[in-house]
Amino acid sequence: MTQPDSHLYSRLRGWTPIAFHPENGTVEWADLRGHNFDQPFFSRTLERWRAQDPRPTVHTDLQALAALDDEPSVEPDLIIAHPSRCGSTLLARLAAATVAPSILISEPEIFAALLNHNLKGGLEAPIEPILRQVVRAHGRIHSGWEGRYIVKLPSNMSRYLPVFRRAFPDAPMVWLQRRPDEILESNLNNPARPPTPLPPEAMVRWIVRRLTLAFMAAATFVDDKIAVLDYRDLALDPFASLAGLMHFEPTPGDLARMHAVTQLHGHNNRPYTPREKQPLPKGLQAIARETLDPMYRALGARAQRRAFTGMGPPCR
Amino acid sequence: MQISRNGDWLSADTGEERVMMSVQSGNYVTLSRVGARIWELLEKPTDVTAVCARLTEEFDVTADMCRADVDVFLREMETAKAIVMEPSPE
Repeated sequence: MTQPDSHLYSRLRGWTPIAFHPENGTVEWADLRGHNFDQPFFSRTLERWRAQDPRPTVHTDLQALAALDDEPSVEPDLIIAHPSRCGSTLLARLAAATVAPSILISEPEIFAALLNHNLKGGLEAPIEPILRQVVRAHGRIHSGWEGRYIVKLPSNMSRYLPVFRRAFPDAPMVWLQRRPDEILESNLNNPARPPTPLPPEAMVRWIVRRLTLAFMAAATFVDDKIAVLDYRDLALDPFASLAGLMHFEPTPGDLARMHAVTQLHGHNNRPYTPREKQPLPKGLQAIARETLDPMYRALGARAQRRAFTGMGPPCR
Repeated sequence: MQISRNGDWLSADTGEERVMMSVQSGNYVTLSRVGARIWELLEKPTDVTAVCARLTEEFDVTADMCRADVDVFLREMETAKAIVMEPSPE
């Protein structure tokens, strides 16, 4: 444990922790003041900042997160988890569009780096306060009024939902899901990039493994405050899905902003175009049917029970 | 050496693999067909000799090769905190 550097910490007021470096346990901070956190992925917010305003970053120890946690911050209005290819980017952008300006933190690398490092036993302190501090640090109040704060996790962080819940006991969460065979087909058509290049057969196993783990994580995360939303409902009526999820009545201005979001694909900023689906190989159909569908259906049944009892997340 | 499963692990078959995830930590491992069989054999605490005896009956493998592979597998599972290995009671 090193001595806190209070002079350095005071210089970092208003800065954002953008990376955690497990090899030396340091947090990398950037001065993003004046930059909206509004891109479909946080990495793009950082790319834009680097292109426009590439001031040097500063490295500190982990204690800086706690030392700077007294700064005014908003807490997440919605935490989105998903098994990939379910419209989570659309949902996150829609949620952020309900009030402008909002904070959209989508798949930031620092969350995963800290949580993975903790899982390997690399952190001396409990992870929950650290996670809370780093999430709050992305929700700093700069302009005096930040609308909503939306956090979207990458699919492989679904296993950390219990940690997020312990860090934010009251935060509304949603598990957005889709028929597993459709997710598999989408992933096969346009695979995500694995950590290291894989031959085709190993790639298929990697896709199946990630999807299975995401569903397992959601299925075992029993929580009163997590809503379950299906892609087909989101696609059918995104506005009603979001209004039901966040418990708000959209104004015409809200609807106009949300409508604008639905016109362009979040991944490439191009208009949505339907794609002809490819038949799924029989072996994968069997995995979807026998292994993944039961978890998908069980989670869907939770959504129906929730609708029946009228429970849902509050929203400020 | 006594070998026992450690904590709650969920498992799901995904064709050639079995994916397992720790409910407590979110840690995960993937097992081959043989690894999945070893996990089944560990349903009750047992020892490596008993595990290898079953595997050499069920699979086309020599005792020496089986023991070497099982030792590596068990060490990996111990690192993942999926099992605990303790000296056998006298």
